[in-house]
Amino acid sequence: MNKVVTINLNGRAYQLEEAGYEALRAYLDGASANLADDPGKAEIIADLEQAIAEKCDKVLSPHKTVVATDEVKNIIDEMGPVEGGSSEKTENESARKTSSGPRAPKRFFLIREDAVFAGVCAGLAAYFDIDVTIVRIAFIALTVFTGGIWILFYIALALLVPYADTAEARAQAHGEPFNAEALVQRAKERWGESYERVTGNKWDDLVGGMESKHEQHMKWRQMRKQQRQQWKQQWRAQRRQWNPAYGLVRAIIALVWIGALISLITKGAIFGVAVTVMPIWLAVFLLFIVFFMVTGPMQASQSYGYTDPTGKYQYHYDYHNDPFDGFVGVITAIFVIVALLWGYREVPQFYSFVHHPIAGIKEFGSYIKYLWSQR
Amino acid sequence: MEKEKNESFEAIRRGLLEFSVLTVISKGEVYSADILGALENTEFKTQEGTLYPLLSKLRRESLLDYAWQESGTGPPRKYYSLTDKGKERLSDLKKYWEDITRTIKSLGK
Repeated sequence: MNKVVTINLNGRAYQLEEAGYEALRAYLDGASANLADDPGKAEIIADLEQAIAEKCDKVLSPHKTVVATDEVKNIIDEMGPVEGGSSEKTENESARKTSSGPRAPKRFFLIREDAVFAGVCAGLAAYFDIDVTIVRIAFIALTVFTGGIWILFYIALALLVPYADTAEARAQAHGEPFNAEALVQRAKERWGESYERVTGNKWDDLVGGMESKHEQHMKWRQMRKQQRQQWKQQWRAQRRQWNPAYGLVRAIIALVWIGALISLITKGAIFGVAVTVMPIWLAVFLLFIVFFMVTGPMQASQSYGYTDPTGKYQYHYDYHNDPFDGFVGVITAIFVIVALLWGYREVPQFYSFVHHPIAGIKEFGSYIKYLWSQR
Repeated sequence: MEKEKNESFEAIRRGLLEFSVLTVISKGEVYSADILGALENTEFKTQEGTLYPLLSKLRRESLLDYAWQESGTGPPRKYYSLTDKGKERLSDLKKYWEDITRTIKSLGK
């Protein structure tokens, strides 16, 4: 005995077994996600519903009034995947389908949820798809072997790499497919949760309770429509806030900064002004701090927060529209490592600091005192 | 082997699908199931999921149009036909296709 759901396909009522209904709903949701950019979307969906209705008619008779789950699945197979309007998109789609195990492009993020300190190891583990414990052991071993210098690498990553604080970033951190379909699926799970929280009713009661099935379905559709509109508005609001000049300014700052860094390391001077009051490595270090003091607030100003339908505060930073985010991260990480290795080899104070940190700090303190007294 | 062949020719078939659909519609007013039926046993066998977005696109490019017709059973159906622009496009495609096949033949000589 199976529960039956009544649906409306282009103005006619059909009764489907519940599992079949779920499958059909997923198919139509997927279709409408793939057609998101197609101007004829509403028409195509109506045509598809019409075709599904006709296929349902074929399996129904006066003595058989319910479409079974297997029959729904056959109908979906016959219909075939719904491909987007533009041919370019269609090709991508089929490429994604034929490649085994579709995975979204991965990005390296810090992961707060699994973090012991900053989430660097958790982020690396997600990125390389290995156990976080192995990464942690490797980090500890490397720290021991390098006499502590590896800790600086950890700190550099902790400072440079962003946290995976949005659903999109989290998906990228783990390499889960981030396409419209997967998003719709995840979003649906959240709708169920928020519905329960807002109304106090169980989501399942709404889908298959005592009220007329048709009414419930219409209610469900209405709610989804509202949610969808809300989201669209949020997306648009975010898009509008993005300032293209920001990318340019940041690119200029990055170029100036790299120029300063190169001239500092090679000539011991920043744009002709010789650095004499402090060791070069300290100047390099200060240059990094200045860079992040300048770009940090700029980056923060390009992030937006909003309260999502479930009442949670969401933080959003538009990584995709910022071509220099990845660039700056990688370049600075490389420079940090090179600068540290250079300091380790060429600067005796730094070398002794790495090997005798406590004495090094004392020495550094007396050095600052010395500088102070020289004024 | 057959499957391999199918996959490597996929791009050609995809490119020619529009051509074949326009050809089927050129026979007169046809219902979408008629189009699918006509393509059923050919290389261009197509499913609704692919055909409907294509029909919608062709209609937006005003290559074809449809008229609602009552059906004996169920709701009214859309019957598609080519517009003048669509007929023009089809004859261009035919000519181009003939040119291409001639070129390929002459290249092989």
